[in-house]
Amino acid sequence: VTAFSPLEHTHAFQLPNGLQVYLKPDHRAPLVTAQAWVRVGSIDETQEEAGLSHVLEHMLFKGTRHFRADQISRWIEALGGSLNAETSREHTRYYIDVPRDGARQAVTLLSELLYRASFDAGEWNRERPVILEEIKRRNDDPESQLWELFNQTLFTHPRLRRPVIGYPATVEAVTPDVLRRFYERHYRAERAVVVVAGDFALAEMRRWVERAFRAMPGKGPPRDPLPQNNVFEPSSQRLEQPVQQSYVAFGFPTPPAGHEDEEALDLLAAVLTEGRGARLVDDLRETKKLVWSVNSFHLTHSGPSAFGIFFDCDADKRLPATEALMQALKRLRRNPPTEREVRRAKNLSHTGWLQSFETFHHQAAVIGSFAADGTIDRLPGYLARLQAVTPKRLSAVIDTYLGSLRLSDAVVEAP
Amino acid sequence: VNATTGRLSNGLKVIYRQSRRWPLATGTLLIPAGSFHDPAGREGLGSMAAELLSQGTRRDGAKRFADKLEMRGASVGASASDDYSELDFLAPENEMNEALALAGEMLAQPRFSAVELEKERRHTLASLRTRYDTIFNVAHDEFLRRLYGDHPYGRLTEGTADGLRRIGRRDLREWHRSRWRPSTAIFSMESSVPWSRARGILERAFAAWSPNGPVAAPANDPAIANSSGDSNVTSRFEQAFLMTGVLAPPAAHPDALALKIVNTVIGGGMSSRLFVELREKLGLAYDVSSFYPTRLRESHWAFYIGCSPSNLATAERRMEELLSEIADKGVTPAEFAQAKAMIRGNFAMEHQTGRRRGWYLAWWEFLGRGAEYDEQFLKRLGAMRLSEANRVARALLSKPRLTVRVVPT
Repeated sequence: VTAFSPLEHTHAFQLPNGLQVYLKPDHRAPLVTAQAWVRVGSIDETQEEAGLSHVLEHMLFKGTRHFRADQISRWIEALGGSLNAETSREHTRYYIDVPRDGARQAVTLLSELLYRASFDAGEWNRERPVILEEIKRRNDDPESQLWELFNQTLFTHPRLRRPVIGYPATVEAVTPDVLRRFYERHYRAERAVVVVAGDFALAEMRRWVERAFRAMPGKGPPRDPLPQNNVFEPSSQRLEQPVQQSYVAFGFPTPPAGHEDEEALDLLAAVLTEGRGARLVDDLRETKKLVWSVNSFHLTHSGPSAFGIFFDCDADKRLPATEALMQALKRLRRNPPTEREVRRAKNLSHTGWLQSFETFHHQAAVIGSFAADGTIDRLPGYLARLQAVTPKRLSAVIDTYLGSLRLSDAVVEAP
Repeated sequence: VNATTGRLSNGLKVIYRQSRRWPLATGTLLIPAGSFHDPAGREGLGSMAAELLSQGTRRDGAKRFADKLEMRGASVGASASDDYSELDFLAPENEMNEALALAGEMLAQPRFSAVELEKERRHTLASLRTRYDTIFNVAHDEFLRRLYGDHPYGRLTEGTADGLRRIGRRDLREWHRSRWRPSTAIFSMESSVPWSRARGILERAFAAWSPNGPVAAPANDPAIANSSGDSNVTSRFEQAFLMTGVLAPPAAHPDALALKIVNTVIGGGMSSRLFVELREKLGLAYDVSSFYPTRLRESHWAFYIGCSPSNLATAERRMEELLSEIADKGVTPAEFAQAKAMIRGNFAMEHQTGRRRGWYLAWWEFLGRGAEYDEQFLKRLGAMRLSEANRVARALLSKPRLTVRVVPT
């Protein structure tokens, strides 16, 4: 196993306002990525505010104190860069990738987005229909619909169940004032992480970041904690759509990021579906020929997380495929993954991890995600911990989480 | 470019770059065996052959073969596109030799087993249906079918249901023997090993790949329908979709680079004309863009928008106006400069990973420009003149276009 550390040459510091900063100079390519993570997402919304974090993500690009809406993307794109953002349940991430000469502009713009947005009413009137269109587009996409259903089956608390994108009615009701209040409450330096990776001089970049972000408001009202004992009651959801095949999800909630079982659950996903020889791929797809594809994942957050097994199949194969999956999961307890299966999964995970770290963008994204979850100390040792999971340990984790086979399920299929 | 080019004794052209940037060995093999070359009545053969290449060799069945690679944390897979098939290689450095030997075995002696063929056939037939769960595909497939007619570019790389049903093992073996020839392929690779050693490793890995018998005859270029006018399709979706476009120069054409720049002005990024006018100013759509794919033969240039059915007419009218405005007045110097910067930036992003760096070198060689074009590309881009770009834009935008509308039933 090649020595490699995701935090190699990374300089971490905190500004007086509480902003956490990670700078990772790397001169392998003449590029820089500047990313910001804000700890705000759909879990911070009330029912009436559903979709507000995502609306905000759109509106930050629609004008700030020093940039009009039409100047923001033009400024970065004229440098040969690109920018975008994404909202999830717990975080909103902004990222700007530029050739190295644009590094300072990228950092400056990132800071403008984070605390100098202007929320012009005219801009909001133009952006509202775009977001409503985005909702329609998701409604036309069976995989997006399956994802929403899946989340609803895992969690009972409304803050965890609501779609990140919100509902047409709640998006319609947003006003610039509502946006501004939400922004001032949640976009606080102590709730944010900035990561810059790529071809820059460390001291200079540190100065740029300090100058750009030192005026960002620090402390805000505390974030509403999520309910701790989220009791899991498996449930089922089925949505009828005129689709060509059945889209199926099974899963169960898992503990927050940083839990001692995290790496074993990650490894379990690789044992089940990574590569042609993985358990479920071999069984459901290659041998029994019941599904077109099958995937699994362990997705962690700082709050409740999830393990999912997704497959798609012909409509008439949905029941036999489900039965075969249950049998395979039962067998997993009787015949736990062998030493060889575990080694195979580890080797594939290791290559995948290395390959993904080839780009600055991904490096910064991973650092930001661990930092935003409050688990950055666990990042350097992640691969080593994954490699250290023994078949025995994996088997114990399987007993804990899959012992009773209490799984939720969601289906999108034709009537 | 800092790469070495050589030929192995089986005729395979190798472009090799020694790099210690990352502890992985990566490689891309390009070979002129795309869906364009599918024999009539066997549409989908090229794609099927590529998919089955990694599904077992004469020595090992699919499962055992995959296991050998996966135990090493390596992957080798092949796929076809319109003009070529591509084999991708990835291995941790300490497993490179063994993984390359497995890639060589796969290239020399694929099994094409009846069981795997049936499985792949069922998968592909199913995927031909399920792709219509996405509105973009409904519009795109109809657009290509109309624009190209019976020309191979008018159908999917995966083939047609009829073609797929007729493919047998003999077709696969003959396709592999006559089209997967080392002498017509290019393998571009990157690892930390010096070329002097890599050469020997590659010679050994690919030694058995030396097929006999005649090479496939060059495919002839069938006529392109080049339809214009309207085509309306009804669908189950909430949204409506519009796609409109024309035929456009092939990759090696002198106008291709100019068009790439103009395409970036019109549909590339968040400050492109389409994005700003139709999304930012009018709020008509979330998804609006354009594309000009790289093709060896006559390509196409298309503009699209997904919007509410009630906004479709407005979107279409505004898009029309915007395109005729560009045909009349051209793009501005500022837009032109920005598009060049975006292409340059994107080129640098793409060159971050070993796999993509290797792909570009193989592609330039495949196109007949030589791997060294990877350096010239940016110079050519810089030297491109605004008047050239506007001449190309005017010529293409004044042609009658084909317009496909997908609307709810």
